[in-house]
Amino acid sequence: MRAIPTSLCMLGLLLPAVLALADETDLHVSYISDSSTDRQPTKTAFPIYPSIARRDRIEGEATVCFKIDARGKVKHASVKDYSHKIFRRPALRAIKKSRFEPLRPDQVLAKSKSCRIYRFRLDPVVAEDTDQ
Amino acid sequence: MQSPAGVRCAMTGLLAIVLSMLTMILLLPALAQAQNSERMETGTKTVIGVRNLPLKSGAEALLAGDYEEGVRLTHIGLTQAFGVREEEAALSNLCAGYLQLGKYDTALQYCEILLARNNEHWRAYNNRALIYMKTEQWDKAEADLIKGEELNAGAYTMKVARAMYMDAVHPVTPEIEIDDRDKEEENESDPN
Repeated sequence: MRAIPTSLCMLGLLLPAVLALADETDLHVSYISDSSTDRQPTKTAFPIYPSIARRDRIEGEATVCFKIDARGKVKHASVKDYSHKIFRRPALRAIKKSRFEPLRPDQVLAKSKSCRIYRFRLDPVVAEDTDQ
Repeated sequence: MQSPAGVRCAMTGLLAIVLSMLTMILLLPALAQAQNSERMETGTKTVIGVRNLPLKSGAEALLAGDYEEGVRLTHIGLTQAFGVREEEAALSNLCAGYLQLGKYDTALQYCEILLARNNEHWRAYNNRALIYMKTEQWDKAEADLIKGEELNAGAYTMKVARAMYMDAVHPVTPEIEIDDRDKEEENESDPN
């Protein structure tokens, strides 16, 4: 398991920072959240990095907005913004597979809609120093 | 006895028949020639594919992954090659076939023969770049990739070759960042 990139650790707003490893062994996944999110994820599905994007060294992001029903399921998900169309489908698939905490009986949401940004990046692999 | 008007009418009718027959006689060879030329043209197009059967079968064998047979047939195809295009196709396929067989020196020879004949053959640059990658001559591979991309940037095989080079020389690890921080409030308060 690899460490969270230092650039992410620099962000002051980070509350829970979870590092997970997806099915692809060489895929880093990091999760950023803060107090502005009033629904806690229970299952976070990771998008697949599109193979053509990886091949052509394309990086970018896609923002998906969605509603969460009382049981915590994602509803009415749509891609609000994207830097490259290649990232639309994996982002949408990932959010549709994700789940959130169900609403408590007395809970009232501040917002009816939530948004999540998926950032797709390619980190250069630095050769390890074999002398050490 | 017919009136002069009746005679004129009969003469006109006869003239029309004769003229139409003459027209048909004159047009028949032209029609036949047109049909022949079309047939010849069609025939020529058909012959291109069938004329060098070993070259065609060799290419099919290479595509099917039977590289030994593909190379054998392509050598025969090269000896029977008709015209520059077939010769270049044979040389390109021999380069690719020997590359797949792991005979890099031989593959390189055929690529270089081809490039000496036609220095704008992008497939030859693509194949030679792959040979250089296999033999870890990265600078030469990069140079051939650049040349191939200049000639045919959109080619799928060029993109794959470029990706192979990039993965070998500049490897990357994909990273996904999931950001649940709420940006909506900032956007909503933005008057613009």
